[in-house]
Amino acid sequence: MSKPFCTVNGKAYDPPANATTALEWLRDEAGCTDVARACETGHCGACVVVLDGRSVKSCSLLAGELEGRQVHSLQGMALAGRAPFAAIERAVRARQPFQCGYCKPAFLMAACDLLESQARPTEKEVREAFAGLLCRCTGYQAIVEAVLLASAPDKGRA
Amino acid sequence: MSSSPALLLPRTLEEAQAQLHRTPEARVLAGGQSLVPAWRSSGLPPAVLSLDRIESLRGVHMEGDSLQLGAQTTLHELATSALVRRQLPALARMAARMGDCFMRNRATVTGAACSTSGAGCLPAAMLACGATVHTTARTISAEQWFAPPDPTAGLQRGELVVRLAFPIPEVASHQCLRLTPARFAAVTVFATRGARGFGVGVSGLGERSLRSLSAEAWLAAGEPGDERTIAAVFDGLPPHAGADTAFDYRVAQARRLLRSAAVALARPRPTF
Amino acid sequence: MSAYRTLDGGGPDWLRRARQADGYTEDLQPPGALHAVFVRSPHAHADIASIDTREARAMPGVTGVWTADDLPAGIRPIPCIVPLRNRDGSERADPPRTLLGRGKARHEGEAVAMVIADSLQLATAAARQVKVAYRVLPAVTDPARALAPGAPRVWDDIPGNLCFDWEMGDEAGVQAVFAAAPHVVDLEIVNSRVVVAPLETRSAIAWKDPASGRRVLVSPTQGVHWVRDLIAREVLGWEADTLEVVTPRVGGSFGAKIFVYPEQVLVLLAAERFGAAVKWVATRDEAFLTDTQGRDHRSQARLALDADGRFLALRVDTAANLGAFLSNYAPFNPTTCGAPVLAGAYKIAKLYTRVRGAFSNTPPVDSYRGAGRPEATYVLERVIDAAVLRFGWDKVELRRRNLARGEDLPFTTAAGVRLGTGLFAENLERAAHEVGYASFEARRAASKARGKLRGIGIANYLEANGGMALARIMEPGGLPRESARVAFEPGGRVRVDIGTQSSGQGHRASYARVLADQLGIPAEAITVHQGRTDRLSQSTGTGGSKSLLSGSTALLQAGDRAIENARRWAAEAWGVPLDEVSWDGRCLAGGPLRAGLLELAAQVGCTSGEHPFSAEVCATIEAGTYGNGCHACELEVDPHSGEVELLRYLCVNDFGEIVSRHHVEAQVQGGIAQGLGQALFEHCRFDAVSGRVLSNDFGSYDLPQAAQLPRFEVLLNVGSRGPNLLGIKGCGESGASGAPPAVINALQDALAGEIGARAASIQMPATPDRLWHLLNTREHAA
Repeated sequence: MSKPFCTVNGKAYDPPANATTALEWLRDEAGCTDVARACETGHCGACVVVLDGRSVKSCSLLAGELEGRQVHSLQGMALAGRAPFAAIERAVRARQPFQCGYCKPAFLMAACDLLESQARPTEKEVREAFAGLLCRCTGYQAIVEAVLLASAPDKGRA
Repeated sequence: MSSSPALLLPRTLEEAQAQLHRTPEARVLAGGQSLVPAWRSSGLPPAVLSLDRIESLRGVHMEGDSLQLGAQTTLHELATSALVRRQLPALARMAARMGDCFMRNRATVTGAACSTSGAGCLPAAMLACGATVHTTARTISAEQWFAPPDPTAGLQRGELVVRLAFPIPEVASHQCLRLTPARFAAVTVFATRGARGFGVGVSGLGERSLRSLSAEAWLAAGEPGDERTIAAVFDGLPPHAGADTAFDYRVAQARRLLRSAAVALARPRPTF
Repeated sequence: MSAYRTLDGGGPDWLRRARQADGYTEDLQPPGALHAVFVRSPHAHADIASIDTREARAMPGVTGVWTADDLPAGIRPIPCIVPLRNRDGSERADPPRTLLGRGKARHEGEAVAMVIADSLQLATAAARQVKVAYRVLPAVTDPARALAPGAPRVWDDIPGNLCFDWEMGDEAGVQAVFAAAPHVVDLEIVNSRVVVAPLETRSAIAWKDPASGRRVLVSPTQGVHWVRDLIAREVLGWEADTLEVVTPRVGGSFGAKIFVYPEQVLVLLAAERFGAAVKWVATRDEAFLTDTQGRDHRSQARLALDADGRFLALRVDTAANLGAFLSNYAPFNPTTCGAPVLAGAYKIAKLYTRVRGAFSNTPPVDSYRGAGRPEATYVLERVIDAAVLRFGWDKVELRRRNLARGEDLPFTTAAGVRLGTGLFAENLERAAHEVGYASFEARRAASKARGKLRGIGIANYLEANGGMALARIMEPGGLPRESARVAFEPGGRVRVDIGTQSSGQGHRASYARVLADQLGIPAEAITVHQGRTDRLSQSTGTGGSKSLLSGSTALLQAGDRAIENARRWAAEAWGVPLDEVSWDGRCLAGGPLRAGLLELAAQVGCTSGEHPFSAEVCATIEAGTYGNGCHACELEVDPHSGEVELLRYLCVNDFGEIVSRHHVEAQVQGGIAQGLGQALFEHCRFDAVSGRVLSNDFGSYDLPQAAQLPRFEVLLNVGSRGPNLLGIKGCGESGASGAPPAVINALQDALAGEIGARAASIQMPATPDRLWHLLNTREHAA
């Protein structure tokens, strides 16, 4: 059996047929609609995926660059072995911080990165960690609160 | 027909150079954080060579008094490297504010040094530190490197950036006015004090980042509080209308940031 | 009911997913779908000399290339549904909103051709080969310039680019007050243009079922029936029931997705013509160029006050940008939608406003979160602070002196709004108290010592929600309607279908709670569906912060009918006279028997048709609501950089009874962020010469970010009920109304100590370089 082009959420895939960017390939050819297409210019973060353990924007990556890589999207985060993710998911269920949901991958992945490097961030640090990520619905407050809740679940609503 | 460009993924520098000789039309991709989104509107190149898999281009180390950044060092690595934080903390702190958290995982120092926007913090840092760009063919000073609006314009076919070398100053200060988080700063001033005197690099005042001799002279004169003398700094630059914010505002901000840098340079060396 | 059989079981998988709102429209991939890509004008204003599609048509995989000349006969332009009468009694101008440009392109991004191909890549490649010869014309983008003599004409047959010249109030009476008033203040106000920018771009999938001939449009909307009726009846001349419109999950809208756009109609025509599903998804570039945009008013406001600071008269003259084409509601926002709140809840004696609607070479402008009400609130609260600055009154005291108080109610404002309830004065007092207004000067001095300019801003807002104004304008004496259907399903579940449409607001949770309380069943037993023309015969949809009001009105009536249906069934089943079967809020009881609705519903034998308890209602909404509140903002300006730091942001609101505090807070927070974005960051710019859009991606158009915003304190004053069964008042747009004036008033306050009267000239967006220039330009007005 030949080596797959790459894996997405643990599943093997063939090389891209038409797609240029990793975002196009993930959505249109690999069927990962949890990778959101929003700004297309690298200015919002909604298309983030985890590439060999590092979160990167799939709009700013060529599809061919995925060759031989392990990719995880939001739905595969449990498989990606990211320690803070379970706590973040619990906090999101409790706090319901999103509205339309389009920006969700950006903020959950950024929160995961932040909590990996810093277990107990302050509100200011959470907000600064979200630099460059866009949400049009929430004003960010509930998202920030959910991250603080994930970092200190014993404190209840931060 | 396929709209995707042919993608070359060499594992070694030698392989990359050989491929570039065979495929001269290939566009070299460092981290791709500017180029890939830009290709949406400008159109795709016929072929792309990504430096992503070349392990020898990664890594940070000291060589004598000089900090060596492998060409494919990411901004995240620059921001979090213990070595950089110890040797040139202003550079690490600066990198932690460049772009968004996902971009820093992919964007490289070479990509940042190839910016054609005239903005950008890394070019100012390179100019202030007297950094050098080491390619597969030669060594280029930061001033030479940033002389053309497109720094890569002077590279020969098959010539690739291998590393950036930063002589370590005694103390350095990065000051910038970033009006929107994660986007390019409107104005950046990077200032150093070292064995060879003061160094000042500025971005946001023209089509390209530049070393400011007038700012260095002002710092050397040791009059950071003097409003009269600073009015001459950055004077005589051709008004540059390319940016969103007015030129007189940006010049005034550059002077303000220079004052802050002067104060910072006078303080004991900051540490992490 | 049998006419509205559910199609859940029918149709292909992707359509079933759409009907179940499983994913956004873009996520759906009909097998074998054709893809549409549009060729758009790169010029803001140009004659189209020719369009050559031959090369594109010949490309492999290309199914069709259409220009305006290739469209089927008999298609009408997309109508603007809002009639408006000019001051002289004539009707407003009504230029056609065509599907594809013919002869002339009037804004950058106007579609001039559509390419249909087997894949998105092929369609995109073919679109590049469509050769359009343009002759570039001078362009105008600013509404005041568009109305000035000599401006380039957007429509050859519309002189002066004037769509309408509308007025409200007694001009002569107001003038007489100004002539005699001891204090008069004037203010020029720019309400900046805003890109709506939901993160999900617009999209549409059209399909014609070859078996039934039924047409389907899947698209993000704010109400499917309205879109269906407008497209089918008004544009295509189809019977409405031959078109099913489905709205799956929606990724934000804020007004922009209410409206019918050419692309939705064109993919329907393409699906009809080519016999396959046709899909179009806007790129972000297309979103910046073709989504309706918001605001863009230039106003001259004049306020007269007596010696004690009582508001005597307000006059507002506004030039409102409508863009190149009239979107569906466009003339409504600056006129009959916004003007009713122009007096707020203040006891202004007389009011006059004149609004001129201007065509320009820009994308169409239409309702954006608040739809004219934030614009009116901004004018009012800014001109009040201009009086504060000019005459030295205290900003809280001046407002306190003029607000309608409890004892004044019911009170009819100078704008004709009859306020029955409202905690206007209480909101102001609590906001001033919570923000520490009394001790502000000490904080200002402390900031000053650190070289910072501190300011505090107060702004009241009055909402006017319920869709009453739109219903009245559509037919004299008209009232808004909304539909709901409550259906009992196997497994002890209740299914609600509702005509309102969430784009992220979380309406469904609130509906479930309201119905659960009414029927005495757990909320978990209820599923709420929206976005389905096949489940309800009609509906109005979401817009103007009225969903919970209109939706719950319909839902509660449907619930009542379901209870009554159950009561009748129980009477028969139990053999008890109907008048002896009673409902106690949780159970039906008759004689010795007693049962809850779910228990009873399960006893009904399985039938192939509708459950006998199920009920559909189209309800009339008898009264609108007037949510109200006060925003307070404290900030610091760095005079050396012009950077603004928001230190404190709070608002006190009267939204009547609260169904879900979580969702109310979320709506207010989101609205405030959009208002702050407009006030400080978002700058929609056009090139002064070419008219092209300069802010055309998120790198050049700055949405507010987390690090730029403070924590918002959302406080609720309770005790005042809205005139409806739940006692609620609309809340969703209030943040966007209160925030812009609160912030700009705070900036005026911060800068006034340095630059005096010129501080009143701050306009949105108050970017650092603009503030710096104000502080560093020495202009000494006489």
